[in-house]
Amino acid sequence: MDDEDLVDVEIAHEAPDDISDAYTPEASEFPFHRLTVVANRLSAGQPDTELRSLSSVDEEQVKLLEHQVDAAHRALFEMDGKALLADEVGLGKTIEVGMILKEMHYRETDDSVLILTPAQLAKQWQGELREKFGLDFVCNYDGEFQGFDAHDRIISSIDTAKSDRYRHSVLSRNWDVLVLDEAHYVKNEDTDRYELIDKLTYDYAFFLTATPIQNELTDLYNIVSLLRPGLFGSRETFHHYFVDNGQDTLVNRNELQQRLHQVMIRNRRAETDIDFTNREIDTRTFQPSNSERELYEAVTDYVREAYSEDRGQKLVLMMLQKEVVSSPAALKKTIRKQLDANNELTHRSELETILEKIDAIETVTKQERLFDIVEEAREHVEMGRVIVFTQFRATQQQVLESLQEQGYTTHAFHGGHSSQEKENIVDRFREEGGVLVSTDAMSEGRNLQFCNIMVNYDLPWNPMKVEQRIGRIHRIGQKREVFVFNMALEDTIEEYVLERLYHKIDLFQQTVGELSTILTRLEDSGKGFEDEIFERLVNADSEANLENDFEAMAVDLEEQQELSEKVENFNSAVFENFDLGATDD
Amino acid sequence: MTDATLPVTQSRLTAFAREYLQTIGASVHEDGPRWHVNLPDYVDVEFSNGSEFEVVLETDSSEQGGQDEFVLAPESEFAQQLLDEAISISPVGRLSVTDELSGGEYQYPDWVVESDLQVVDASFMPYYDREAVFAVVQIGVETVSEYQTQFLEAVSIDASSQEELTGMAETVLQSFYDPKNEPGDSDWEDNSTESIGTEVFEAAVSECQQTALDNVREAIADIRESASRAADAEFDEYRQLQNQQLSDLRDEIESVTTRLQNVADDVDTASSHEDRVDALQKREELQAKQEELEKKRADILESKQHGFEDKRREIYQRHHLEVQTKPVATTLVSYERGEIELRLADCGRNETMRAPYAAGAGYTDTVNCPSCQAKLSPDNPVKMGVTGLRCRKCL
Repeated sequence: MDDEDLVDVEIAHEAPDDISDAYTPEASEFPFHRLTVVANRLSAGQPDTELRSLSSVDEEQVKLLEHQVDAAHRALFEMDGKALLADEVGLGKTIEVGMILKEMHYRETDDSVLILTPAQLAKQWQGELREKFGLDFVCNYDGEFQGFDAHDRIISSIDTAKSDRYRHSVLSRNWDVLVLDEAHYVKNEDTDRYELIDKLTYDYAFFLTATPIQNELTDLYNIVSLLRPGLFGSRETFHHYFVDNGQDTLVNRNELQQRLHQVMIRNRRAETDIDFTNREIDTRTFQPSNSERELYEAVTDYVREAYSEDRGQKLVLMMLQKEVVSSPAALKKTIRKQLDANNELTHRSELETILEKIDAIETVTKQERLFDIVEEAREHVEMGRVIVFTQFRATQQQVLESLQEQGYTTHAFHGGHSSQEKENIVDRFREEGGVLVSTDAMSEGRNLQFCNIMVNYDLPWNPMKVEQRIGRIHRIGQKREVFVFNMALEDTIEEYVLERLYHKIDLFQQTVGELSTILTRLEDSGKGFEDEIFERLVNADSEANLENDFEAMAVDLEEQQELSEKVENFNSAVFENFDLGATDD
Repeated sequence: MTDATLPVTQSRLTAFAREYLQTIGASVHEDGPRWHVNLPDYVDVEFSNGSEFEVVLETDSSEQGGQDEFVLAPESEFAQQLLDEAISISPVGRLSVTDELSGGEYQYPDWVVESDLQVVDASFMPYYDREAVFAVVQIGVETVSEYQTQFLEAVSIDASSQEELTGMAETVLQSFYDPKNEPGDSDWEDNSTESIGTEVFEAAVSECQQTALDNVREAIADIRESASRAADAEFDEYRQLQNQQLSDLRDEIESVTTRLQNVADDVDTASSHEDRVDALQKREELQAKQEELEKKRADILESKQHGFEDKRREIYQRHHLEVQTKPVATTLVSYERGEIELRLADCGRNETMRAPYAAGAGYTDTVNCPSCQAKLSPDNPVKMGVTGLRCRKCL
């Protein structure tokens, strides 16, 4: 910088009056003087910068890794609580923020906390912070959510926060802590999202992204400038000094690194000790019995017709479609509820027909085939431990009963249990072995590394949930190879989702965290995954069209995946040789 | 640059608190993480009215001090009270630095350290005592942007020559002012009968302030650059805003001009006197509005022509740095000056060399090559020549 570009410096030397007054040529009592000097040294020193809350983190719930502890420490104590956490995908940025928030909670500097995430991830954040760090947040999707001025710890989708309804209340508060997940979505300074973050007032902020640069290096400028205005000077200065004319490489890298080091932490997978065991995927599709086939077709026709005539709630219809491939028991419960709750149903007879078709099923194919898997496990795995996941309580009940009839040790886990009961159930499963049949209530934060076989008895249409299920057993600390069995009936929606979508994006082999990048890209383009699946199913007028529609969705997904990979690679290349993970000391 | 700050760990704080309480005459009975403290009657402390209290060492976040019970932890109120009391107790002291303090460990000149020669023997020969002033100087740097910083620098200067004794600040800090390392009486006992007058003392302290500031200049330069960048970003924002305003004004003027034309037509075509008067009044209003907008635009354009210099100056002025130095504690140090004799060896041969030296401070003056008289330095270290010691340049 030239001299004329620098601000002035005024220097004042305070007269040493106190010191002069205290000075006498005679000897003074040194021990007192020593205390004065030491007290000055300590008083000016940084406060203890140990993560004091670490000892209260439950190691059963979360295994803290060295790079995560370092990142939390640096963000809090070296970056004055304003940091861009830019670890590569899958290194646990959420855990780092969890530790930071836990420590701030411990030090009582977190009276009001706002976590902004993509919509898809809000509930997951809530679950992880609660289960792993004992931190309770209200999510904007919770029934109890009453607005941004009504709670002090909020997790919200960024789009809800910027909506006309809430924007004012979000901006009118002074937040102690702001967390922004997938921060690259505010890269563009001309968007409402950017404007929201720019106008928010907060004392501490933690932005998370694996890819600070999406398209061009200006993205990095925008994100960092939100966190630390002025760190890079003006936009022109940044361009002039750090970006070459071609817009795709950085110049003056040392200077840039030095400045980024003040605000950005980027751990790389290769430098950490994270090592996952192999994951073996076994997808089994079964021919449904004739009565099951008839039932499936009847339900699908009913759902299509009801949806096209707008005579049914979309969520209920969606549930029927999911239940028919889960179990007749689950379906029966919902249909009964529909019939009992509404006496003026115009399509009562169709529902009653479906009930008859349910009753006509003598053998449930999936249930029978599940025995094969648990039997194999009983022969080959210690204490025959298997976790079977289903989305529905009725299915869970039916599966449990059938397993018990066959003489298997079983355990049930669902959202109706208290935290203590849940803990007891997991303990019993660990000690006694056998089969744990669980709903997705298990997906939030509980770790079951002692088990290495899981079965997707039915399949959520939200891939994040699938990832969470797998994450219960395939995580840091799992020492054995993990087996994931997927069960689906042939020519059903489940098979489409499984074969056409999930296998296409290699969902079952994704690194933890990769998926959210793909999905938030999809979400950013205004689409919801479950809705997409449902719309395609009900709107297809022929088998061929349905296949084509799913193919198109798969292509879209693959494109998002490729884009994510490209962006990730680009960031790796840009930050190559950047030593942002260590201090200069 | 000798940073005098100490990271506040529990163990340092515990050592400090123990020493403080004992020094003011308290009896401390330690029972694991709990201390039972009894103060003598003549001691008056700010934090407690009673003469008996308990101190609880930090263990658990939920630990709260009860009545007559104080939690000692980094950032705890009690810790801060202790530090505040100690800070004001005795800002000036005296001590003595002698050769014994080094225990035979000398600070060799850099032109020896950088040489290939080995020091096989060294001895210090004190010739006379001198007085130095050791000062802990607080340097605060303030800006309106977030880069506010505080330094605590330790410096030592010789009281009469006012030259900086670079090695002494570190020695004094480590030997005398580390809470975990309490010096014995003989270590610091000041046997010197010499003293310095108040004026000399004050001049030396002022010099210490200036020296401390010089030592952190680089760090201040970094802060200045950061503050300048923040000012630049703010100014840039202002510039963009003005350009936007210019564009808005242009649109507004165009709109007023169009409306003026319409009103002019109305004047010409007014069917009644009343309508004509209305139209004329409207025209007058619009003309005034137009003039006002034109003036505003002209003002901005003029500022723009001058690169918004006034605004830039104002922003830069607001972001300026205020640097303040304040000595917070000073120690008068009596120390020995003399010469260090070094026996230097290379491949079985050895030679002796002397250099001006001060206990606690290291070598104090330049030394020239015994052969060519060139100044010895890390870049021109001493070497073993055929006929004796030489330097790199003359070999």
